[in-house]
Amino acid sequence: MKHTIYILAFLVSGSLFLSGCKPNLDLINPQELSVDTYYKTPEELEAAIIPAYQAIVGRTQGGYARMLYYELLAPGDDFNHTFKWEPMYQDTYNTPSSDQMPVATWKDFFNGVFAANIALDRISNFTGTIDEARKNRLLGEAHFLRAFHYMHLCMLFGETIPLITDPVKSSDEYYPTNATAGQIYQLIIEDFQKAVELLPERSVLYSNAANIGRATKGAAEAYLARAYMYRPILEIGKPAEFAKAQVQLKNVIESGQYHLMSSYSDNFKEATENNAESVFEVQMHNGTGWLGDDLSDSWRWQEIGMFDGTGGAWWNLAPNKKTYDEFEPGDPRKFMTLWCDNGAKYTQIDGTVTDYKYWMAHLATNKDLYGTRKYCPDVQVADFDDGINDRLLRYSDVLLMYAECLNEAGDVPGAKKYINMVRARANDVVPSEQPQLWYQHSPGTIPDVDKLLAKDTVINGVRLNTIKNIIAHERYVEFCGEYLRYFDLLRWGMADPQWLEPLKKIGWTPRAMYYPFPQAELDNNSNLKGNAMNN
Amino acid sequence: MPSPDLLILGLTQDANSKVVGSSLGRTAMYSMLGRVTYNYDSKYLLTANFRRDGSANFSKSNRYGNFPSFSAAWRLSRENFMKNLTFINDLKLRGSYGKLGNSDISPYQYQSTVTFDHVWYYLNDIKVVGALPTMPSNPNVKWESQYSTDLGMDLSMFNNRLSFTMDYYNKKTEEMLVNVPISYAVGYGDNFPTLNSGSISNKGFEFAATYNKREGRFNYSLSANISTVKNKVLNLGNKNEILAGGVSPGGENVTRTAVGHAIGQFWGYKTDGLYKTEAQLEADKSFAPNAALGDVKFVDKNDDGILNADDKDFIGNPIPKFSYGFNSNFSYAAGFGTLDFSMIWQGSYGNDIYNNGRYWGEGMYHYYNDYASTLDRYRSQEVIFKNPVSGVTTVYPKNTETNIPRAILGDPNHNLSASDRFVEDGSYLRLKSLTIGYTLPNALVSRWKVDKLRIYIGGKNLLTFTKYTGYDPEVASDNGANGGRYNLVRGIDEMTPWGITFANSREVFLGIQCSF
Repeated sequence: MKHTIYILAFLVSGSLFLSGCKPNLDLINPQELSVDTYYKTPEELEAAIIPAYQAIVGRTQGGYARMLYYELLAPGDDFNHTFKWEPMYQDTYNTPSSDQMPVATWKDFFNGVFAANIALDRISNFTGTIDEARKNRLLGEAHFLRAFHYMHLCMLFGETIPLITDPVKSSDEYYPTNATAGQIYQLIIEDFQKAVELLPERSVLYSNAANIGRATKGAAEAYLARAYMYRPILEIGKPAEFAKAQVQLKNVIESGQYHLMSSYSDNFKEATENNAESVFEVQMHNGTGWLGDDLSDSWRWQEIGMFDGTGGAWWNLAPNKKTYDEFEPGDPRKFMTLWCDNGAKYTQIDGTVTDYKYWMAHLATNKDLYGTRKYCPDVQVADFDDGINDRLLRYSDVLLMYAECLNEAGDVPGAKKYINMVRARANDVVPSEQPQLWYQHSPGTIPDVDKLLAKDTVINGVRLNTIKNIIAHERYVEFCGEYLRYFDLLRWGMADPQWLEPLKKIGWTPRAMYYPFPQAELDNNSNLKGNAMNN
Repeated sequence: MPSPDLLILGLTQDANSKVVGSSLGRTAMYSMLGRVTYNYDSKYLLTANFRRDGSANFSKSNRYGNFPSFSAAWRLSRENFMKNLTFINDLKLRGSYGKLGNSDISPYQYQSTVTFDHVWYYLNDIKVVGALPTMPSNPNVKWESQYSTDLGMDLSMFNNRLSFTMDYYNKKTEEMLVNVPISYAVGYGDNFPTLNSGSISNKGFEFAATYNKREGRFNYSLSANISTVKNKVLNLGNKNEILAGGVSPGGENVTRTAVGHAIGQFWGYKTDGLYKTEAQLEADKSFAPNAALGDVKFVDKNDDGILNADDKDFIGNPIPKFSYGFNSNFSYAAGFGTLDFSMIWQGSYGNDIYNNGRYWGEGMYHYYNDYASTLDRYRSQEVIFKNPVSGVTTVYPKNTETNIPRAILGDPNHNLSASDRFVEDGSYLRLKSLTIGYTLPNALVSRWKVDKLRIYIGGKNLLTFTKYTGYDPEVASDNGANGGRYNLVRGIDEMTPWGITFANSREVFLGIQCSF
């Protein structure tokens, strides 16, 4: 037979669960839920706001858990990078667009914007039954967090970042373009304003302990004030709005919700988190396992805390000699902020109690730098991380911002009053500190503003003969390591270039005011133009 | 549990937790196949196939794909006019055309879902689980199709001692399933949507030849093969380029896939040696403000006096011009037993490798150990170093005739930016395996009730001929950061001290093969 013809026809079906006949091809993901059927109960709306908070920690750790402290501290004149981390460009105003830190921060804060946008969209379109106060609180949190994330993005990358106020709905929105001048600032202000209207006072919200750590009305007012004062950074070429800030700060002060802790160091300890001085803080948590198990911990202690060679610390970033010199004689805050001579002692995991002399003996280079004791435990544990919350806005900042606004308005006695409150607290006796420290037994000896003016001292080349200069000095020492110094210099410098001099001296240029947009973003998104650092 | 609808234990637990964890995914496929074959005297052969596939990875409206294919062959050696050519045993011409489907993507891409995994925040030190859509869905995702044309010839001659196979192929992939990068500002982090985006073509030749012969007790076979591929991107949806291959640290993209070019070409700055004179530095003062003698001189492609991403260019091709191999087997049977010997060689020619290992090994930006090659670094003057511990003094002479930049803490000139400095010729020829065996004579082993007893010794990767300076020119196929988008990121050597890729190891083995 020369001709052969075969005809085969058969059916095959396969599935993990079924066999024989046609399987079900409409499978749903058993681990996730459909967007269309979610967000249908108040509890599900509560779940929507959580990732907007998580972005502060950073889902890829570009938030306060890891990388952000380099980006916020290194460009200041107060911190230097050590020999331990090269190259660290944040310190040299030469950050390439391919640097690993800005890209993680960009992803995390925009992830937070997205989460806040989803929450706002779903909560405002919610048709089910929800308690009005609860709905307002949730909306307030979402507005607060969107403004918070945009404020960070704008401080770091400038106001030409994309403006996104709705969750992405279709693939047409995958490549957003630059915001125009003033748009980002306007969004930040409006969002904080809405948060002020919608959020409850701290005492009301925190009466339920499960809410401790959420944004409050006071936090929104204080951040709104900070945004008004940061305007020269957030909207190029525009002056700070001190008068508007003053109104918000006055409300915070008059609300009676906050007061200064009697011990300055209570602001940096895990046991005294979310205290009455804390207006807003990021909630860190260190689980029992290695590295806390779940990316909710802070690495700050390990990365920028203790000196090199002491119990395995990394010491990548360190306060410099200028910072050491900025503290007045008799200011106990110096020893609560820095690891330095005559200061606190550190106990290594092997039980060795070490001090400055020991550290210097073990340090080969960078002997003119110091350690950061603030947010750093005095005793090493067998892990890198800790659960200490960074206080992102303290009541003492409210007081000093208020003093600054009063001074701008010409109310010098008022300004002095609030500066004196902060300086008086700095002198308080601190019974819980290490026993060899003098301020445990007797108060600090820094004078009040009038006596300081009378002394006419010069610190680091700045003469303390004006209220403005005293505020600048006071902010430097009070908030050292709390992510404010570089931005203070920038916002003052936009109005009066003399405040940029300390930065210019170490290589800062106007071009380097912001970090470059991450190259990976520009690679993916050709609709977006970079900022000056990309050119 | 974030929702009573989710019945999976440990869904929101972290990876390190000792609490029980589990995960579940499902997939399903439904296929219908049909085939018709026609055969006339083994001279004319025709086959037609048809298949219809349904995949649960696509929504109802895009679920099914139809994939026909046809092939025909003509065995010339059975034609009368070939009868006189007796040295030809078989000669066949073949041709085929077909459409194939690809549905190989992660499941559930067409559905928009919220996830609870790793979504949490601590309030008052108590973990609160949240919900967030983390994957950009694509409700329209559908089958990728590959249209494939193949023309070939099979020839065997001289009592089947010598055989050739030749093929020309032309494959065109349409509606390619690609993880298309989107703006990070949209908020999905590194999760990209799977889109049917673009088309590519692959064309090339494949040749193989084998010769085998027995001469008395000596039996051998030799074979060689070579294949070429020419790849071209025809279309990439509306975006028309994908940058990928983010190398560590920082994730700088070192490949660019663009229309009109081959897929995954290396992308970065071109360089023009080092700054070796003050005059060069002076001339480039605004272009390279942080440069000093011995720093890399980057090329200002667009002559705008600024070094930025617009100056990047195609700097290499990870796809070989051809790849090839040789196999040989020899055996000699004698009274004392049988000796056998075999070798496999493989190689590729004309491909480049992006050697990112040199970022770390030749970076010289930190107090790290560096490759010995950095001894040849640029030194504008003699350096005398006295080791404070051992007291040994080392003199490093002035060295300006080199292409290795100076050592400088912090790399102010960004010498480490992705550039052609890291692109190397990846051609190689490698003795992939070699085995020598000895089989004991049957007469001897049958006494021990053993059918066959062979002792052998051999090795893998014993010899490599290459100019590539990294550990291994056979670069592992993927770097983790790109989620398996292999074609876009091939040829990137991420070998680092804490490596993502691993070199092929050289192995020597000794064995006894025994059958009863």
